[in-house]
Amino acid sequence: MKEPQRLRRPVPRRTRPNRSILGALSQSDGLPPIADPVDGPEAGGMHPLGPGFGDAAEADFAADPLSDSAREYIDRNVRSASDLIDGQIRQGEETAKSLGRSAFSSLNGAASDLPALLTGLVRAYSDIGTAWVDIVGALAQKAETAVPGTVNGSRNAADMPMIGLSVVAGQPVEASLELFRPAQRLTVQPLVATPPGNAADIREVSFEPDGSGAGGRIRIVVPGGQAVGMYHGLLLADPEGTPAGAVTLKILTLPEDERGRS
Amino acid sequence: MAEQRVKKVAIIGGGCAAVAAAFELTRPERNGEFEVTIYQLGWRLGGKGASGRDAETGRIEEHGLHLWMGFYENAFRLMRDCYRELDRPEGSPIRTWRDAFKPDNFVGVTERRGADQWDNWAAYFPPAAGAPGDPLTGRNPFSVKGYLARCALLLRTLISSVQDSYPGSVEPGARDELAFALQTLVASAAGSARGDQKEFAAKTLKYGQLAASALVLEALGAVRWAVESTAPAAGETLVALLEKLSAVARRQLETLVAKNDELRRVWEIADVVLAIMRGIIRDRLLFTSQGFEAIDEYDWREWLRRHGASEASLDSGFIRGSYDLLFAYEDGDIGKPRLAAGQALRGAMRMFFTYRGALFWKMQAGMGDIVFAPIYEVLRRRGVTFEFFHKLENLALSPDGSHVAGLDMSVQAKTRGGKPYEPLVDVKGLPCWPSRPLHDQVINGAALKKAGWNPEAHWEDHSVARKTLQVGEDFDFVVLGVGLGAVADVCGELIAAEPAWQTMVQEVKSVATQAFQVWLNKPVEELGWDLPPINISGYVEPFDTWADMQQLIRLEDWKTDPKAIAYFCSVLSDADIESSDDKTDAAKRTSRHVRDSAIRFLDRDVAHFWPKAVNADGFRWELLETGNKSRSAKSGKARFETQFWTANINPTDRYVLSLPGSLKHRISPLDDRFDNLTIAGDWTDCGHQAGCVEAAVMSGLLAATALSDYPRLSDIIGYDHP
Ligand SMILES: Cc1cc2nc3c(=O)[nH]c(=O)nc-3n(C[C@H](O)[C@H](O)[C@H](O)COP(=O)(O)OP(=O)(O)OC[C@H]3O[C@@H](n4cnc5c(N)ncnc54)[C@H](O)[C@@H]3O)c2cc1C
Repeated sequence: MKEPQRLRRPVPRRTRPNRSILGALSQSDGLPPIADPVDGPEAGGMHPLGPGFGDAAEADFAADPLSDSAREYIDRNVRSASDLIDGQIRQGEETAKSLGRSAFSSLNGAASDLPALLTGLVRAYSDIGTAWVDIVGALAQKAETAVPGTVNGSRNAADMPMIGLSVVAGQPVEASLELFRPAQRLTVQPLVATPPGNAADIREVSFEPDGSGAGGRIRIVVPGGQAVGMYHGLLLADPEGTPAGAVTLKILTLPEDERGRS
Repeated sequence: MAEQRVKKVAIIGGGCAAVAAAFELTRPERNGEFEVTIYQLGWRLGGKGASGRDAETGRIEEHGLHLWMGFYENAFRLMRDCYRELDRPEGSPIRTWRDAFKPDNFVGVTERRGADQWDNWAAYFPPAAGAPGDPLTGRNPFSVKGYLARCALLLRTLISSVQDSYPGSVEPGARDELAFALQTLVASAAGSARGDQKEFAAKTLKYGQLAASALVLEALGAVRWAVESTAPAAGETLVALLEKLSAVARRQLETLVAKNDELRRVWEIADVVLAIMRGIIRDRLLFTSQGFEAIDEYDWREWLRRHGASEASLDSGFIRGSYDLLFAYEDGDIGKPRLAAGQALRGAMRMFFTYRGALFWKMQAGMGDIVFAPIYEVLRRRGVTFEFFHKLENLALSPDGSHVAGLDMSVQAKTRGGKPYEPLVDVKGLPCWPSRPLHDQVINGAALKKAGWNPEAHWEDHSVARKTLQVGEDFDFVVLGVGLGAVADVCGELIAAEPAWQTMVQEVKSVATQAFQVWLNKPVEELGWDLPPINISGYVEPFDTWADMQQLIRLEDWKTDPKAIAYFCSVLSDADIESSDDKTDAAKRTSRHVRDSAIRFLDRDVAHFWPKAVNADGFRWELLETGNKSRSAKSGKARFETQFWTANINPTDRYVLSLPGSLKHRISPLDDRFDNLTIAGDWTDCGHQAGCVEAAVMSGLLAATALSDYPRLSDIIGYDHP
C-alpha cells in the first residue's frame, strides 16, 4: 500500500519583521471592519495618535499658552519636517503602486489574488527600496556628522553616494546593502554562500552608475533553483579596488513546484 | 485534481499563543482545511495566564496578576471575534467583550523618596478614542518619525505646563485632543489627578520665574532641527540643540525641583523624553532598516543614560515601573535589572502613543474565565479536539533531521468510560476553570485527590499510559506552544540537530515569579488608601506590584462577600528556589518561602499603601476574609494560610525575559528549518519581543501563517513595527 504523502509547510514569504520605514507600507489598515453593535467608540477622547498620521503637527493647540507667533513658528517647522518625510513615504507608496499596476497587467489572468499580489509587490519594492532607505539614512547622517564630537563623526557623509539595490529572483529573498565608506563607482563581486558549501555563486551581478556620477544601482539576478541560504558579496570601490561595502542576500525557500509537492 | 485531504495539526499546549493559532486555523472561512487537536498537560488551558476557581468560595486564584494594555490590537481582536462567535444569550454574565474588559485610566507608580520613604502617584491617562481591536484608520501609526513628532509635542506640552504657572494661562475648558491628553498627563504628573488644573496652577505659581521663555526658545530651536535634519544644508543639529535645551533646563529646574514633587515629576518625564529624542536621532533609529532592534544590545537605562538622562530620572517611578512590568530582572535578582533598550522603547512608544480606549484594561473575572473558557467553548463548537492530561515528553525528529516524525506523550490520567473530559465548572452562571482537576471524572480520582496529585507540577510523574503520535497518521503539522522553559526538555533532538535552536535555548532566558492574593473584610479606603482603585508598580521588593481587584468581588461566590481583593506579584529570585533530589519536597519548600515573604511584606511593607491595616505588632491578621471553613479558626499569622499564594517555578511557567543582546537569538514561527513544525509563544521572534499576552497572540497568528499563509503578515498589527 502506498504511504500517505507527507505534507510540508508552504513557502514563507519572509521570515523577519520588516522594520524599516518601508515596513510601514505593508502594514494593513486592519481586517475587515468589525460589525459589533456594542462596540461604540470609547466616549470622550481622541485617538492618541491624533486624527491621522502626520496630523499631529497640524493639531490645533488652542490651549497652548505660547504666543501666537511662537506657536506658528513651531507648527510651521514641525509641519514642514513632517511633510518632507511624509512626501518621501508617499513617493515610495506611489512607486509600489505603479509597480503593482504594471506587474498586474503583464500577469493577466492571475488576478484572483490581487491584494496578495500587491502585498508581494510592496515587499519587492521594499527590497529594491533598501537603496532608498540608504539615501535618507545618508541625509540624516550628513546632518549628524556636522556636529563635532557626536558618534561616528569621522565619516564625511556628504560624500555618501546614493546606491540602489535591485534583485530579480524567482523565489523569496531578503536583501540588504551596507556601505562602509563612500565610493562613487563600484565593482560587485559574485555573491558567495556562507558557510561556503555546495551552493553555486550568484554571478549575475552588476553596478549601473546613474547619470550624475554620484551613485547608481546594484543589480542582482538570482538564477532559478539557487540553493536556499545566506549569500554575501563584496563591493569594491573603483578604480582602487578596495572594499567599500557588502551586499547580503537571504534566499528563503524554493518555490513550491520545485519542491515536488502534490 | 485530487481532492485536498484535511490537514491534521497537533498543537502542544493551551496558552495564549497556542489557542490563538487554533482559533486562526479553524476559522469558519477555512472550510475545515485543518483538523486541530490541542494536547494540554493537566486539567486546564491558560499556561501562564491560567486561573482557577476555589471549590468552596468560588474565589479566583490566578497564576499572576494580568492586565491588558490598550495597544494589544491582536489580542483584543481575537477576544472580540471570540465573544461574537460565542454569542452568549441575553442576561448571561460576561456576555460580550465589553463586559469582559473594562478600561482603567489610572496608572500607579511608587516613588522612592529617601531611604525608607515612598510616595504613591496615580497618573491619569485620558480615554482615547476607539477601542483596541477596532480597524486601524489612517496611515501607518507606528513610524519612528511619527513617534518623534509625538515626543516633541509631549515635550512642548511639558514645557508649556511649566508656563502654566503664569496666572490665567490655561483654561481647562479649551480642550484639544492630543494636547489635552498630554496636558492631563502633565497635570497628573503634578499630583493633581483628582484636583483641578487651577489648583495646580496656583501651586506652581511661585515658580513662575522658571525662565520658561528661555526653555521655550531652546525648544523652538530643537524643533527647527527636525526640518534641518532632513534638509542637508542645515548647520546645527537637533542633537546639539536638544543637548542645549536639557542643559539649560536642567540648570534651572534641578534647583527648583529638589523641593517640589510636582515639578520634579514633570522634569523627570521631560528628561527621559529628551533622552529618547536624542537617542532616536543619534542612533539613526529614524532610518535604519533594523528599526529599534538596532539598540537591543543595550540595557534600557544604559541607553537612556548614554543619551543624557539623569540618574534621578532613571530611578523615577516610571522607569522602575517599566522593569517591574516586564519582570526584567535577570535570574530574578533585583540587583540585576536588564531590559533590551529597543524593545523597551517599542513598548513605551506603543503603550503611551498608540493606546486605544484606555492605557490599561482590566479583566472582569479570572483570566481563565474571561479568555480561556470562551475560547475553549468556541473551539469546541468548531470541532477542535482537546486532549487534557497529555504531557509531551519528546519531539522526535525524522532520521534525516528534516521534520518532526513523532510526538512522545505521557498520559497523566484517563477519564472514566473514555468520555471526553469536561473541564469547566459553573460559578454564578459563568463557565469557569476549577483550581483543581475534576477528580470525579478521572479513573482513580479519589485516590489521586487524596494524594494531592498536581498534574501541572513539573516534577509530578504520575503517568497511566504512554503514546507516540506518528506523522502522516496522527498529525501532519505540529505547533509547539509550550512555554520557553519546557523547550529544552522536550526538544532535545531539535536542539542537537540545529545550532540556532541550541543558541536560542542558551541565550533566551526566563525568570520565576511569585504572587499572592488577599481577601479583606474592610475596603482599602478604610485602611487608609486615598487614591483611586489602582494597579501600582515600582514598590519595594519582593512584591513590587499591587493591583486592587475589587471588581471581582461580585463574581466570586462567598457566603459573606469580602470588601476588598488585592493581588501582589513580582519576580522570584533563582537563589530562593530550593533544590534537592526530592523535587516535590523542594517545590514545597519554595512555596513556603513565598508564603513567608508575603507574610513579611504584609507585616512590614504594606503599611505604605494601607496605614490602618497595621498596628504596633504588624499586620492586623483579622482583616483577612477566610470564607466559612475550618480556615476561619486560624488566627494571627497562621490566618494567612487561608489566602492564596503561588511560586511559579515550573519551567514552562517561567516568565520570558527580554535581555539585552538576547533578542536576536529568538526563532520565528515563520522559520521553516523543520518543514512540518512551527512554534508559538511569547519567547519567539514575533515582532513584539516581550513577555505579554499581545506577543503570545502575535506568535500564534504567525504560527497559523506559517502553516497556511493566513492571516497575511500585513494583518498582524505591529508585526512590522520598527
Ligand atoms: C506572574 C505573571 C504575570 C504576568 N502579567 C502579565 C500582564 O499583566 N499582562 C500581560 O500581557 N502579560 C503578562 N504576563 C505574561 C503572559 O502571561 C504571557 O506572556 C503569556 O501568557 C504567554 O503565553 P504563551 O502561550 O506564550 O505561553 P504559556 O502561557 O506558558 O503556555 C504554554 C502552554 O503549554 C503547556 N505545556 C507546557 N509544557 C507542556 C508539555 N510538555 N506538554 C503539554 N503541554 C505543555 C502549558 O501548560 C501551557 O498551556 C504575566 C506572566 C506572569 C508569569
